[in-house]
Amino acid sequence: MRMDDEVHIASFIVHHRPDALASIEHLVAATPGAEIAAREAGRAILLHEGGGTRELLACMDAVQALAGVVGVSLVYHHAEPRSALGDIIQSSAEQGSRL
Amino acid sequence: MTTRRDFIRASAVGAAASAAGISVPASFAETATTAAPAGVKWSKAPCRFCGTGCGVQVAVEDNRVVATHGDADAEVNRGLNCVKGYFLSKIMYGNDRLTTPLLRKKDGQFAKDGDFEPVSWDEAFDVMAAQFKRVLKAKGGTGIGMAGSGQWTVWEGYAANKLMKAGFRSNHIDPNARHCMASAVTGFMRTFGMDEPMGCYDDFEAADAFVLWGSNMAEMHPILWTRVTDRRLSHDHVKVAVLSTFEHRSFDLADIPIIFKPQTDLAILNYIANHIIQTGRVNEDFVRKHVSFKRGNDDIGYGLRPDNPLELKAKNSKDPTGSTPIDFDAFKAFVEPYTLDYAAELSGVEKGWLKHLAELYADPKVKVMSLWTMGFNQHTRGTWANNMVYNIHLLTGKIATPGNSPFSLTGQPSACGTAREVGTFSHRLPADLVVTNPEHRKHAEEIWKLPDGLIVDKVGYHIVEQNRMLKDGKLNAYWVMANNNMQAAANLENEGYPGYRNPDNFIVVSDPYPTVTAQAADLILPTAMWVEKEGAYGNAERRTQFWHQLVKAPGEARSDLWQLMEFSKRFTTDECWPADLLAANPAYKGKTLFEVLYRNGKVDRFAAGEVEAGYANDEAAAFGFYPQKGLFEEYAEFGRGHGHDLAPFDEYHKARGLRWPVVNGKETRWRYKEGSDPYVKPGTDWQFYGNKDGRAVIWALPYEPPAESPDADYDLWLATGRVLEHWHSGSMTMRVPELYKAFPSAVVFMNPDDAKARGLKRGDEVKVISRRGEMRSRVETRGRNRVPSGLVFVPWFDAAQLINKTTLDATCPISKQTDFKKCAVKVVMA
Repeated sequence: MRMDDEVHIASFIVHHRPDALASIEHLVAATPGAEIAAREAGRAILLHEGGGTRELLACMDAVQALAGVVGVSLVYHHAEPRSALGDIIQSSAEQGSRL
Repeated sequence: MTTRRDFIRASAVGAAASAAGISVPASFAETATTAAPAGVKWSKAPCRFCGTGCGVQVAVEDNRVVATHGDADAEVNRGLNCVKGYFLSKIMYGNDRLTTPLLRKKDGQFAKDGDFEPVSWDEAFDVMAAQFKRVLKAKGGTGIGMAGSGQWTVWEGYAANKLMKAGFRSNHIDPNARHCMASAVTGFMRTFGMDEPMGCYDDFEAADAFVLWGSNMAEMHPILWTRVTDRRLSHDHVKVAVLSTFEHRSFDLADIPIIFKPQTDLAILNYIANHIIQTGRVNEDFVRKHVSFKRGNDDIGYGLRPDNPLELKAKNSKDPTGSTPIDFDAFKAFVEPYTLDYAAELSGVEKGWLKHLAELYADPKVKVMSLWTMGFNQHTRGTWANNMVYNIHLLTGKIATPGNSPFSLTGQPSACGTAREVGTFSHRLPADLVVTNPEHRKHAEEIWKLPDGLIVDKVGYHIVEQNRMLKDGKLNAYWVMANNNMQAAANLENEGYPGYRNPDNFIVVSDPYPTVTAQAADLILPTAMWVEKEGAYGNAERRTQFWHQLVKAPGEARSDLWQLMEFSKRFTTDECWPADLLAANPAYKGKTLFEVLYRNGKVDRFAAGEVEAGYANDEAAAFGFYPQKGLFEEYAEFGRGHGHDLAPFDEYHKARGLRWPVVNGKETRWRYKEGSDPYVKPGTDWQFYGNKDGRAVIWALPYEPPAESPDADYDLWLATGRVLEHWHSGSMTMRVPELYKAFPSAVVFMNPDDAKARGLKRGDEVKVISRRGEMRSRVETRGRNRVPSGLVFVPWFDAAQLINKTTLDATCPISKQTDFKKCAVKVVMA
């Protein structure tokens, strides 16, 4: 797999105790490419955009290590050349971990 | 205007929101789904790893799996995947994938001390058949054995069972599932007379309390853990109790955290029973109508070799399953000594926590789900532990209704579907039938259209015993499929390896990769895996799931099903069956095993053309009929009308799995309960119909010490187990770069005080030494597992660190399942 010119976009669900939300927000703010896309009692959806799977897994591990985080599940993962991402599209693409 | 980047980000959020049941935020709401690029085809399949049975969608392009994602339509995981499941498609593309048979040779001939050389399938099967025939001639079927798997597809296990038990007349076939859930099976059989859970995953959304008995679901069953987590975090009254011998990630959610001394779970279970009785919370009506009581034999030994001093000393090592009927009062008196004080003293747990735990079960208003896997099952009293957790559910009537659920989780994708339901154990036939029962044998012979008296009436060698018998030279031709038992079995230097390299023995290993086991063999057969063949798995909640062949296997790799059926063509009944049996049944004389087992008018009754359009099926192409469908329909005859009903074959290719018994097209979620189980007689309310009297059994069983405990020479407990990133022996997950990088090597998780006392610090290279062997590793005093002083935890996925050189091959004497959680070791600087 060539990683140098690829962008990886992934989402994962974080299950957490309510009082852990502040530390998740703090971590996400300090992690380039990460944002909290949605949240609801005890659950948050994190969106992560980065240069490869190593970066993605490091972000997941960091979230998992926070006190009060009880689970991190990767849901969506897509990788493709950076050059293609600016294309204007009409329809859609597949989801899943592109190898 | 939408760019591709916007679109992909929106899709990512949308998929996660839908999986989590959260509404999609407006900023991402636009854009959506469907139209995949031309050339990519998506199909459903269950995940290849654990017993949870998550559904995945698999994308194929140019005969290669290019992507997978959680199947949003699968009830089990609702679009989620754990990190292993996420990288699932990569397990097929490791650099060292085996693509041709390999035979040990010297000077162009097979030689036990030769080196592996590539050979054709013809040469491989010629040499293998000659070796099997040598053994057949000398000893008959009793010299032949097979180690199978809870990773076999349903029809592979079924075809193997027929080849061994009917073809070669050997009951020495046993799955690696023996190491995994044999104690769960014997627990179910002794209490309910019928295998597998009464409840299902729907219990997760109905329970008020979850009790993890030794299980680390956060890492081992992460998707089910998200269901526990959702329930806990969205309902304030819900409680989670986590019991273990060390602290792990599941403790993050624990309201009641309990670290107990190894083996004392037995005392805690009896204390809870005593607490329920002493506080007057027995559900007397339920107990009177639906329960009977037995006292089991005690002092039953440790399943070691019969000449081991521990076995000679044990009063009932020859009759571990014996019992006497008792009544409620006798049971009450039996558990009375298990007071809070006694349980706290033995287990080392604070009384307050024990009482909180007992109250979850005792309080009639709390619906409890008990969950366990290897903590109970890999236990020299594993069958007892299973029986004893049912005791507390039965005393309170908290069973077989939504949320009231003693639930045995499984570790392999088809431990239930193949190992248990198909009956690939050395004592079993399909649908809970056993080889020792003459009526059961006759029934199997009838369904198989084989002569009366063909199946041997003696229990064969279980998988632990197989290694001992290989070493002792009693088992001489041995076929290992879909498992890595050299790495997985305990005490490998003294029992496993000498048996494989015994010059009298010929060892065949079928695997996709050159595992530790394959490298110890004489012949390696390259195997097709997962979606390279059509398959069926059965998960922990009785759900049977199918998938189609989606890609072709690389090179000369062939499915286990093809290997079993093709190999059977090389034997005639005259070579395998006694002359008098053939004289009495002359129609079978001179036939090949292929003809009598698979060309029997049943297995071959569906045409190759019936395979669903758009999907390949290499076995149908090779044999000229649709063997998966024929085998499945013949197998289903065993269970239909007997509480194990399976739906018609084609239904499973449409559904996201169905939970048996499937009666009149409807699956069953809670068995034994009137209204949800069609087999329960109207007016009975509950009926445990696996037992003739319709009653479940409460067992009076004591606490007994483990086979080996730390002492002055070997001063630490050793427990082995898994980590999130790797599945079992790592033969697949270690070949996925992302998973390998995430956890590349095993470590010794150790308490910082224990490390300090030995002059060790984090990262130091150490030797873990037991009475049986030693291995090198590195000390880890931080991280996800925090062990108490006096215990070390070592994961077993790493082929470069074979921790099973040190483990003890003591088993539960009833289930024959090894206790990988308790032996004594010392740790010293390397």
